[in-house]
Amino acid sequence: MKENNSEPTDHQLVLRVQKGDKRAFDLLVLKYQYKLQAIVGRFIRDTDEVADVTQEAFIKAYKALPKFRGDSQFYTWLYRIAINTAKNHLVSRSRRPANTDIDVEDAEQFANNDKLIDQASPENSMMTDELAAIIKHSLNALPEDLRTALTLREFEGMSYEDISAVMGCPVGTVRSRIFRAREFLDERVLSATNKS
Amino acid sequence: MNESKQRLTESVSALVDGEASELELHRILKELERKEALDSSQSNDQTLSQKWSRYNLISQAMASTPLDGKDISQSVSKAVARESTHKASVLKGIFQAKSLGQFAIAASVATMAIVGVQQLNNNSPLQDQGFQAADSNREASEQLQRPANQFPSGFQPMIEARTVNAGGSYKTSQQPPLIKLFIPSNDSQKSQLDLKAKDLVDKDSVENELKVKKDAPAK
Repeated sequence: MKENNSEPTDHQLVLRVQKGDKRAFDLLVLKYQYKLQAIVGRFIRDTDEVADVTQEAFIKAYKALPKFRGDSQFYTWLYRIAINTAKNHLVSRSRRPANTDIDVEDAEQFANNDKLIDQASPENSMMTDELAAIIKHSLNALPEDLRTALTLREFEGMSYEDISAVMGCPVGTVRSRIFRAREFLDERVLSATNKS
Repeated sequence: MNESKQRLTESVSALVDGEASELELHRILKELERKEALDSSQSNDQTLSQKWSRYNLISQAMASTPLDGKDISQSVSKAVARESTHKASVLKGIFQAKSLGQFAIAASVATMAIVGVQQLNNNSPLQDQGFQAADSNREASEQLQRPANQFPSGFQPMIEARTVNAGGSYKTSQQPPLIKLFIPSNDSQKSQLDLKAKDLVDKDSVENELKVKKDAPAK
C-alpha cells in the first residue's frame, strides 16, 4: 500500500509558518487547493462558492496554525477545517448540506483512500481523469529508467533510498531521474492544457 | 534552464516527495521571496511556485486523488498577507509548553550548583584548617585534662604558638587564631591552680618585704 511520504514536507512547511514564514503557507495552499476544493465541492455545487469557502478554510487554518501540535497529519486537520467551514456556510445560508452522508471521517477517507475514488462527482473526476489520461500517455513515452524511478515513487510510495536499492544506483541518480521524469510529464501536461 | 535554476527545480521535486533537506527548503523559500523580480522575464508557467503546484498536481493525479476547482492561491496569499505573523505566539507557545520542562531542569541544575558550591566551601582547605584548628584545640584540651599531662604544681609551661605559612594559596591572616586555654575541669586541677597562685603571691610578698628591708635605711 502506498504511504504518504509528503508528510515530512508538510511538517517542515508547517514549522516554517509557525515561525512566521508566510511563503511556506503559500506552498501548502498551492499543494492542497485542488484537493480541498474537491472536498468542499461535495457540499456546495456552485464553483464560485466552493472557491470562496475553500479560501475561507485556508485563512481559518492559517489563523489556527499556532495551535496545531502535529498530533494528526496536517492534511487531515486541514480537511476537517474545510468540511466544518463548508457546513457552517450552508447553515448560514439556511440550506441543508448537499451531501449529508459525508462526515469528517468519511472526508478523510475520501481524501486518502484510493478505493473511494468512484464517490467523486463527475465534475471532480473530469479534471482528475483528464490529467490521469495525459500522465498515462506520457509515462509510456518516458525512457525506462525514468519511468521505473517515478512509478516506484508514485505508485509504490517508496523512498529514494529504497528505490536506489531496487534500481542499484545512487540516491542522487534516483532523485535526478524522478526530477527529469516530472519535467517530462509537466511539459506534456502544460502543452495539453494550453491546447484545450 | 540554467544550472542553478535546474538544481532549484530538482529541489522542488525532492520537496514534493518529502526528500528535501532544510537547506533546500530554505533556498526554495528564499527564491520564492524574490520570484517577482527574477521571473519577470519568464512566463508564469515556469515560476518555482507553479512548478511546485504542477508537480503536486501530477503526483495527486497519479494517485487518483479527486481534484477540482480553480487557482485560488493568489487570493489566499493576499488574504494571509493581511494577517499577522505567528512568530510571537509560537514563542509564547514554546515558553508555555517546551520550556516548562526545560525550566524544571534549569532549576534543578541551579539548585545542584548552589548545593555543590556550599559543599565545596565547607570542604575547602581554609575550612579544613579551621576544623583542624578546632579539632586540635579540642584534642589539646583533652590531652591537658588527662592525668599524664597535668602540670605539676609550680610548673608553668612556656607555650609558644606560631603561624607557619606552608606556601599555600590561602592567606594566613584568614586563619583563625590558635588560642589554647587551660581550663580546670575538676577540683584537683582547681586546687593545684590555687596553690600555684598562692605560691606566686607568697613569693611576691616575700620579695617585696626583702626589698623594703633593703631599701630602708639602717638604724
